[in-house]
Amino acid sequence: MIMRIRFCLICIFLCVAFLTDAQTDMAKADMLLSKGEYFQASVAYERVLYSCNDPLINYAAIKGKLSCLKQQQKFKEAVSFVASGRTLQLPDTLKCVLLYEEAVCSYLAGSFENTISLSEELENVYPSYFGLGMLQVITILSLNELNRWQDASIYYTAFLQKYALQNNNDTLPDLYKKIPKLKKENTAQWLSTFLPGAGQMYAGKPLEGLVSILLQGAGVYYGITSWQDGYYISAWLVGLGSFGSFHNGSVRRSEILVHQYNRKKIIGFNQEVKKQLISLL
Amino acid sequence: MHLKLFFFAILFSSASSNALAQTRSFSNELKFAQYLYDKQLYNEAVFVLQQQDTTALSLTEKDSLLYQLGWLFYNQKQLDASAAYLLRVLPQSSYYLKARSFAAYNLTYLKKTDSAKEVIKDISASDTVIHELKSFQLAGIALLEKDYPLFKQLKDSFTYSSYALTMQEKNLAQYYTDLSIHKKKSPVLAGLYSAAIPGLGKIYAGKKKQGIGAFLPVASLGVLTYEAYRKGGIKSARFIIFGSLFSIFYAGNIWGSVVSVNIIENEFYHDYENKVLLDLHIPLRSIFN
Repeated sequence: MIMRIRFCLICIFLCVAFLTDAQTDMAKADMLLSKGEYFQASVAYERVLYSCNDPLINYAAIKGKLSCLKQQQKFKEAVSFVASGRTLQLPDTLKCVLLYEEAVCSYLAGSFENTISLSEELENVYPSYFGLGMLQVITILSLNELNRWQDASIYYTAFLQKYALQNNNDTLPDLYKKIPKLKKENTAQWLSTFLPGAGQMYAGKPLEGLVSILLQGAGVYYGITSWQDGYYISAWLVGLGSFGSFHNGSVRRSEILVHQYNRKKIIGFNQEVKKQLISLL
Repeated sequence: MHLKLFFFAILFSSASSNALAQTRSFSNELKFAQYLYDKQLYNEAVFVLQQQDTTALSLTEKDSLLYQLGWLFYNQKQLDASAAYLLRVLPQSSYYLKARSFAAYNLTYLKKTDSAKEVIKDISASDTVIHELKSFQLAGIALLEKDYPLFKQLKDSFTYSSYALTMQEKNLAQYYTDLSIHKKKSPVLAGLYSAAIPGLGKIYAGKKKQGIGAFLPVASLGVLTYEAYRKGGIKSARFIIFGSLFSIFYAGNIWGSVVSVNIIENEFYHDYENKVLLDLHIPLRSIFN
């Protein structure tokens, strides 16, 4: 009996000692986080992860360090850090929170493919959890960033329907009904090849098109007048040479302008969707 | 009675844990820093070690701390700070040889070769491998300083028998051969070649494509200038414009050839510098890790 009591006392001593030690570290880390000392706080959370084996305390430490990394805008580091927490023996409700955090940080880090894959994982493994609005929003936005508007519109429609049901409001405009029409870079190149300046005009830059016509025209004019005056070499090298250079440059430029035009349209549309979705959260 | 004992145990354990939290043992902190290092959290590891109160440490602990800090900075490629910490490790420490050797390498990399040589010479060679490593490092520095007679003298002490050094010793010997037979190209000659035929100076310097690229515009402008002179005479606007452009391109081509030779020479030596530094580094890793 006495031996059993002694054993119990030793066990209590060790458990309480380690737990309170970790809890002290945790409290210190939380205090540093609240003071805005994110680097020191993240070291303190790492100390908790290093010294403590309790999964729940470790979960809290991961959440704490994640906050520090987010505050420091170290989203890529946050993704790999929170992914390391997957090995913890945690209940599903906490595991899916970590997965959700990983998806959010992945979106903030600009890893859109990874965000979509994590969202799909959450949707399949923890279907009840996928009801969270923010996760749907980042999935839609990630698909938008990858120009996968068709897929994004499916999530978007589901999101709007759910919102309409929850808030009894079905008057929201469906932005995906007006997906911007993008211009073709190939068309611009062909236009510029056969009609100087036409590619730039197609890309929405008529002034640049006019300048291009003038420059190419000047080359041709110089070539013809030089030829007529008997300056044959000058006509070929300077006249034809400058025309050829401006013509090639014009073709390339029209392609760049169409690319810029499309990029602007894509960003504008994505911003509009982002603005609407965030206002609904 | 049992209840009293139970509460006593809880109180005692919580009090002792508080005391533990306040004074963390140095060895535990070192292990924690190692844990952070393994997670590649170098800044965090440095922070933990720099928080240590060095006045409360024994000499051995202090050496361990300095070595670990030096090593962390080395991994972060902050070689200046790394060398400063590594050089503070005392000769009694088990880390001394490694610390000194890596500090010397760091200084060599930073082109502080005089300091590096001093550090290497101060190392007391306890065994033949370390003795040979010293000669090897000094020979590498001699190559970097283009002091070929000194390299030849140091090369004679290479035994080519230590597994960690054999390959790199052979490499250094090969670099010495390559560098000593290398004929320096003359910038003046390159300029003269380009004056005779535009672009030829660059071809002489080893830049064939640049040479052809330089020839075409100068030749075209030359032909245009000639045509303008033939048709319009010396006072024609065409001749003045094309003639001026030709002169600028012609002179620029000569100057470009002169500069090219210097750039190519620098590239050649820079390439060998990198090779030597890499070969100086490999044996350190093999011997001390």
